[in-house]
Amino acid sequence: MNKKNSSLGKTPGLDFLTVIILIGASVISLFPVLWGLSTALKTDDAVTMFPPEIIPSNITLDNFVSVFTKSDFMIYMRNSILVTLIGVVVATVVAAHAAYALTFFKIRFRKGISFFILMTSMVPPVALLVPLYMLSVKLNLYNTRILLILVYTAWRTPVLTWIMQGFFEKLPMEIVEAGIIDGCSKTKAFYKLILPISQPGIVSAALLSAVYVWNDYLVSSSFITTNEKKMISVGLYQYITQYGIKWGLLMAAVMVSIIPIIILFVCLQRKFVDGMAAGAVKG
Amino acid sequence: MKLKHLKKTVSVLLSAALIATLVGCSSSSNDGSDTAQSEENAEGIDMTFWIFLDPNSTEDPRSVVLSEIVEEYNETNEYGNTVTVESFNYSEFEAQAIQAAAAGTGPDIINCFSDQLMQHIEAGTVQPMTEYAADFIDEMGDYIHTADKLTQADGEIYSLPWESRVTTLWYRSDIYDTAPASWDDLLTMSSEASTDLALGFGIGLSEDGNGAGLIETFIPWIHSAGGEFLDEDGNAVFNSDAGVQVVEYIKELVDNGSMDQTMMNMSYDDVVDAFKSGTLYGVNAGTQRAATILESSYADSFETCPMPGVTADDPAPAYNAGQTLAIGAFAQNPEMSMDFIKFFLSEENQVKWVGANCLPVRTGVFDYDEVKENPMYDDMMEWSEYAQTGEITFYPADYTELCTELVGAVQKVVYQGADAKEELDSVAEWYNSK
Repeated sequence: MNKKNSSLGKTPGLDFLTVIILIGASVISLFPVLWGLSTALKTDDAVTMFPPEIIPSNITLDNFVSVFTKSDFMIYMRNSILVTLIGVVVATVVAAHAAYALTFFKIRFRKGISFFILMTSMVPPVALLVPLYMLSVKLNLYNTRILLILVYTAWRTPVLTWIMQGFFEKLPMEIVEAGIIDGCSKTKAFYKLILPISQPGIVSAALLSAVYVWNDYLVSSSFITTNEKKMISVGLYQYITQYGIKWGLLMAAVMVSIIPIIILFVCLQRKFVDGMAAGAVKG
Repeated sequence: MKLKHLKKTVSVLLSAALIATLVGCSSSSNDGSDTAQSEENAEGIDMTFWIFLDPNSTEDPRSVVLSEIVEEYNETNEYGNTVTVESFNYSEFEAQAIQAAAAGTGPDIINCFSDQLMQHIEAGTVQPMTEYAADFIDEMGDYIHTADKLTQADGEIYSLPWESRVTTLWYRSDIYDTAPASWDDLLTMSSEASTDLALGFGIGLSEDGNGAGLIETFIPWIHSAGGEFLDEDGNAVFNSDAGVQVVEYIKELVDNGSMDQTMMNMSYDDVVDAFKSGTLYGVNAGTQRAATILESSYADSFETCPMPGVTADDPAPAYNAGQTLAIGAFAQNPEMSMDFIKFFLSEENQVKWVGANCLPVRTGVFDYDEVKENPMYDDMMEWSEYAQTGEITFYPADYTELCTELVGAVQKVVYQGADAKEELDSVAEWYNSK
């Protein structure tokens, strides 16, 4: 956007106001995270102290040390990274191909098929739990990470297909047509032309799915009972016990568990913003 | 051409890596170590044990004890059995067990909280153990529960408690001059103790946590007032004069400033945290919370006493509960499951549980020197003595639903001025007509 034509550029007062509002929004958004970090750095008795200390007077790393050395936290992290990575990659690959076909190929009942795909993701996950549970027991997949990957892939693919179809529909059909005239097959046009220019959209959709899988509790808690295969979302619950909530440990574990997602966002920030903006502006 | 060839090779390698990873994920559930172990113990069986404690955690002393007991059993049992612990969070434990039973599977040994045992029985997650348990109870001699009390309506015993817990009044000795002995004492002392920053007493009146904050106080208090919560047939009878008296007393606590409106949003966990933080000077809480409560910087001023009753002479009869062990409905060999349960309940292992601040179910352990050396020995003796004023109760399967409804009714009386009798009648009628 040309800065001279921007309304923000023309109105210094509004710029200042915008900055203030953004700072306010940032503080409100970040406060729970900072509060969590502060709790993680407190001793047990300081956690429930009243009035509370925002910056702990006695900072300790004991909670972080305990999380890493006295529990299976790293196993949960490894499982989450593995399941999220494979699940999202597979779902994204499948969805991208499906979305391309639905957007650029002349398929009978295309709209109906698109809607049907979307409908499958509208079924509340909890309604599928019992049949999936029984199926997994019968197939001997219960208590395996591959089951989690299959379930997450199946659940995220319809939504990803729908989102990517939205992105692809905004691309000019002429690009594909020009590619075909230049000798590209439709398949090659997808890999050579469509995929490179759709990266922001694909990355945004994949990133949102990754956050969904990373945070999901329902599926990961229902299909895994052995400790060695639990995901981080389930593992965090070990600090909420019948004997009380271990706030310091819980917050330390939460702080560490959000790091991979933060890293993912930071690395893919530019493409994510482009992708979100592409979805926001028509024409 | 070379580039094309290279791309193909890379694609094939990536695909192979992906497939290998997936195969690795699925096969890890049945790795070589399991097979090797079962070959080694050809005569024994590999059993699974579902419990809410995580045996791999070295941070929680209870988890450490669990791990030690299981390890010892695996090494010493005469049959060559092995037990593998699978841990679930307590909040999802019942759902997981019921789901598994519906799919025709489940563990060999299962831990059930006494309040939820009937839920397990109805869902078919456990099987009767009467033929093994009745004799074992006699053998133990010092077990705090009798076979009669553990026998359910169908004449069967389904589980054996391995730890005990009793709800007591926790109060601040620097704020309260003496332990409140009656409702009047508690009302007077707690209202005088309340300040702008702290309340003299608190009951979690939120529906969160199935309303346990209220129920664990309501039931002993209704008993103290001469009433019953449920009758022998499981019908709600808390809408009696005694029930009304309890609800009106809770309202009085609010009206007199001992508690305030914030209690409506506070769960059991919240009131315990508030007590630890010094914003509540008294709470009714289970003894299983002791270790957590004593982490507070005010711990030196914390005291416990029996829950005050209507009159100073008689404390409210104790609200007892506990974790129990049952044989899973799909156990491979119930006798072997029972063998592990017997080992779990041995006096030596009960001593270990005391070391992890669990109230034992065998009184003989109080004679052990290492138990006498426990810093909480005197408290445990006191709690154990108080526990004898009540009995462990197994509530119906829809107990949690009832509790949530009852909390709603009490909220209406306390904070909206509704009539106590009408509200209790309404909940009792709803429950009895189900």
